[in-house]
Amino acid sequence: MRRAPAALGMAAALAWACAAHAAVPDRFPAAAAAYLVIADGQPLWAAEADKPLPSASLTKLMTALLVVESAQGESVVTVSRTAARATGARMGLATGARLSVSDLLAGLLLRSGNDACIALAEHVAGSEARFVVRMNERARAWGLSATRFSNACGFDAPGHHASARDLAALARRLLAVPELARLVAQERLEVTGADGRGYALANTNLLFGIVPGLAGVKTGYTARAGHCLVAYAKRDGREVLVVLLRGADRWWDAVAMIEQAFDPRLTVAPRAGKGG
Amino acid sequence: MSSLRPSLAWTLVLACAFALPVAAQNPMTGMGRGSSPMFKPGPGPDELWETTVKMEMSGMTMGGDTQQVCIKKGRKEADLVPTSQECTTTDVKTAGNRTTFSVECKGDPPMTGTGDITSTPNATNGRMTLRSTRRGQEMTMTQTFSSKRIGTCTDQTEQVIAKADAAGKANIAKACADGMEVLEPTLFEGSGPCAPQKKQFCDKVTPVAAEMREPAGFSAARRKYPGTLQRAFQSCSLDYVSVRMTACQAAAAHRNWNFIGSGDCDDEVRKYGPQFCNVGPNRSPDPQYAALCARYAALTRGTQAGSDGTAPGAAPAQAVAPKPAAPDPLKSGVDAVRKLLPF
Repeated sequence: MRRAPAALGMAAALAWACAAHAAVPDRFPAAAAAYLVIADGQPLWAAEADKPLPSASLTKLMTALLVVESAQGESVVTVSRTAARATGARMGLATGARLSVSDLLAGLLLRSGNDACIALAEHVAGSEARFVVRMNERARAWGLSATRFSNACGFDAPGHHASARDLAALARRLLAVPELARLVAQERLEVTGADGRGYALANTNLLFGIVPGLAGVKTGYTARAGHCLVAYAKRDGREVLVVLLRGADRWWDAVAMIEQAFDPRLTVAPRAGKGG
Repeated sequence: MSSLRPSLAWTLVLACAFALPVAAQNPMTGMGRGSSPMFKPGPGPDELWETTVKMEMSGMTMGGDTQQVCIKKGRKEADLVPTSQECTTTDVKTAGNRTTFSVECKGDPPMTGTGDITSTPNATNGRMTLRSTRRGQEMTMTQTFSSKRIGTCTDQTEQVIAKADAAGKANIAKACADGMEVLEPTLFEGSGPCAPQKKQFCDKVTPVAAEMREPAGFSAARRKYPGTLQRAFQSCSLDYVSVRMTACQAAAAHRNWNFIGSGDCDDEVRKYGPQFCNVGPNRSPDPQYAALCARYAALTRGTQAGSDGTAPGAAPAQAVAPKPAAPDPLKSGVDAVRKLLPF
């Protein structure tokens, strides 16, 4: 019985924690398996924001952060056969191609290139496996409790997951690095490798040209993760960050989330008829 | 506090008594109220006087400060009789060097009284007694003042007032010009400082309204007059909604989807959105419809608070991994307490 007051305190804290999460409404119940909308630093709408889910290429937010703190941007990387053979989204690197770390980061973040991802991981840590160890160490250090990496690029794999809240925290860290923030805000970019070969990089984020004030950040897709997106927009000194995991229609749901977050007066039409 | 009002009011009355015919000046700074000197001590032609005002009420004496005043040459004795907007003086009589008068003041409570001023070329003494009744209790205030001529001065009251008036007029003129420039209607309405220019204001708004019936004119006006247009229209009895709808209809006729998606044509967005924005999940529409479809998404996706609906056009439910029912935070907390407690 003497333990009761402490137990009560713990229980009350748990109850408050639950209530705090429940206080963020789910305005978009059909939009994604998990999502989080943050306006000016405050969570606005969310669903399953702490649930670990496959993170696909949103993984590359962590990859980029570790690369910029470990490697000089002008350092030249020679692309390995392993990197050049990476599947999925690619920057188009050939074995032996030589590019600067900055150019590979552009390929990593704009094109979501898995070839650039492997090349950078190998450059920083010697191998992708060692790089992944660093990623997980950093996730723990940053308190990303729902995040675990099995590879550097976001391929579907057991034990490879992150929550919408953790990815929002990663995106915030990335946006705080000017070099990376500038990159993810580019709709397209042309880079030329140290060997003279050119690469035209169109951002995989289709919200450019649709959402005024869009400033990045990253797209992702795998069969298990589905369509994922972290998007960030700034207008008139205000900012909105959206994270969608396994989105039903990520582009237009993200547009709706961003527009409604910037203008809470926008009211949603009642359910009537069919629409786009 | 309210019982003090008469004393304050009458202190002002006496101050006002000297405001027009004389110019008061702080003897420490040589300056009157504001930054401009109301008079210059010196060769004249006006008279420099030193005045002391006291007030007695319910056995208390207030005031007693001495200040210098510059009395305009050629003033009439009657000019020294207190005047104010609330009080009227009547029965002003001058016999020899003595002026008497009666005074009636509005206010709460109203007051009546009499006063007299005795003047010689170099001295003036005055006394005024005011009476009022408040909650059945009679109150009497007595004010006395004495003045003596101490030299000569040059009264600048008129110049200072004229300068202040000119500055005030210039400020109002600038505010009106600025208000006209940005179409800020409040300045031109009712008793606003620019009300005389209301017609010119509306003469400026009317052609803007005409231009706004076309999308380009509408967008240009919105950029040029942010935040004031709707109020300006209302102030000039123009129908903003009708103008906006005309511009939207013109935009639809010319397939100006950027304008329709700009936030002013939501009826058109709901009308054309289903036609051009249904491109399937996770696909982007033709870029020409981007603004239209972005607005359509913003207007139709999500739910209002308390609604359980799936947004129109959202992907079928099976496309989204099923989510467990959200836990009731209160129930979760209570359950947690139950597990931890030994009963």
